[in-house]
Amino acid sequence: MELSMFNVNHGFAEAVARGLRSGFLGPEDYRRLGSSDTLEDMRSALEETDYGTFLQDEPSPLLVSTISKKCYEKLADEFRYLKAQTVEPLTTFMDFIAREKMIDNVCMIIQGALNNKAPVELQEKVHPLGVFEGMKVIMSESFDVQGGFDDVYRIFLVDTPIGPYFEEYLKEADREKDEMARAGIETSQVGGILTKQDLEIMKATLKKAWLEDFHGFCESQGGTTAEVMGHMLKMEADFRVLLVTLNALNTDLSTESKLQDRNALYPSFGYLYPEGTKELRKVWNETTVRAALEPYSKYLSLFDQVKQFYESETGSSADMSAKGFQSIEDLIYAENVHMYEMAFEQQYHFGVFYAWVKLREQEIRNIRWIANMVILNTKDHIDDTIVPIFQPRL
Amino acid sequence: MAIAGGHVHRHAAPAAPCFETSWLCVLEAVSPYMWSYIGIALALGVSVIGAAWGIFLTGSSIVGGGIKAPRISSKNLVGIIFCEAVAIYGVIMAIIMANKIEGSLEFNVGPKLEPWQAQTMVAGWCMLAVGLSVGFSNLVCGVCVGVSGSGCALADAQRPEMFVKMLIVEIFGSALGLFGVIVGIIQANGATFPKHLA
Repeated sequence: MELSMFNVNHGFAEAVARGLRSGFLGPEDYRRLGSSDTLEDMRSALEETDYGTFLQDEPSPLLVSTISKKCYEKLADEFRYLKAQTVEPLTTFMDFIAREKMIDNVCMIIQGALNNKAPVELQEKVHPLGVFEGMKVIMSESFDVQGGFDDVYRIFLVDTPIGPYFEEYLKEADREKDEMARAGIETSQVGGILTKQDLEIMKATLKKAWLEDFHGFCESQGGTTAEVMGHMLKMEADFRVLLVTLNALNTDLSTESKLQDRNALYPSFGYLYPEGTKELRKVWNETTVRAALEPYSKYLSLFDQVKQFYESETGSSADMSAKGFQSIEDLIYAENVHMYEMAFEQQYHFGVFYAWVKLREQEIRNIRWIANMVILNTKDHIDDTIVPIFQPRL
Repeated sequence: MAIAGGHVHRHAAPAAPCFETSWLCVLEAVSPYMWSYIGIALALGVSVIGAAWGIFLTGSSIVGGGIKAPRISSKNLVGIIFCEAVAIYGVIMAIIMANKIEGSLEFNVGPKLEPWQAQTMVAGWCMLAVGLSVGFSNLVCGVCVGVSGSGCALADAQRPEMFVKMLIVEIFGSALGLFGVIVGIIQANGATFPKHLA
């Protein structure tokens, strides 16, 4: 029945999203971008594509950050246009996609506050996709974030879509505070002296809460949406587990005492859950990671490919990117692009919207990498680094 | 045609109406005109449901896809026309069926069935069956053409040469409605309501 009833509410929005799919940069566009000598050439190359004259009003010495920001603004405009055409439950689904960026924005504001920067100075760095209603108030001149973000949460974030994730984090943090207080250790107020690592952990915890919420929502939709989105979100959760584990290997998060903190960041779903994560909770160096990933051939091969990168990082090798070593993020991007392209193969589900946003983000990343290489004049590596999207199948 | 219960006629043993003793008899007890008109309503109404279903399935995709690829909107109207044809089949059948119906004397079935009554009952059941066969085959035909048409519009927006290939799928789909109409016409030929001159 889903086949015949989906179009009642969502047929138009899906057709618009599929129309936007044809706006991705193709191989000739990438070649033209890659053959530019300056950012000005890139601007005129982009004018031929679906991006059009979006950089027209920018003053002449173009910066990479400007190009990137305008690309994100275009994406945010199209996202808002698409979201305006939707009805429930698709509207909530698209809101979920935007919430990831809202978390990024709020964490950036909090970090800026800890570095004694007023929120209004960070206006430039706000991610356009993650703008929500209460944010204008937080960004206004007179607001003072200094006094600990417990107040920020209680006053401003309660009603916003990401409020519940902060609630979860604060509950967790309060619980830890209680434990530490009982152990006789001095603690400071939550918003007081947060180290950089604590902020990263807070961001990762919020993202984990968001991911689990999103997964629950998609499963409740049932049908093809649950199947397609379930697969994509499970892969996302697994990649998150891998990233956290690998990044923690070389920091002090791998010591016995801090293992708890790292393990709290593992989402409670995914192909690695529950057996894989059970094993991964105990790992503390590369050998143990390899042993834990043994039953999962795909992740094992990913890990082996990046092992050289991490081993040589602790060594002293220079220009690793020239030798073709890639970090796990690069490999994950490539895997993800293939997965998102597959989402377009089926009709009548919400996965196309999620996949479209993610593929556009990858395209913006590609443009940024090309721009950086044009500036550094190392254009021969372009084909190694960018991930082509919707390459024509022969 | 129910005989008022309880009254005893002087010259015949009172026959209790058959539906007082058996459920199966309901089929015989309902007037054949009721069956015929229900058949006409099914033929028309269910066909139109199928056509409308197909049109909204295809139409929403054409309208959305036409934003980024305006060229698809004119060619893909063919898909909409295939769906519309399904409703036209329903109308044709309804008209044919309605023209066959002739009125009769009061339809009271006594203890013995008159020949004209038997013929009318057969005609009534036949009309119902025609309505069911035409209606449901057009219903699924409309849904089928609608889903294919939606996919055709979206594929056409990405790659223009897809349109002709997908059209073949839609043509096969619309043949289903045609089967329903052809069989319905042949079936309806067997239904004759006797003429009453008086």
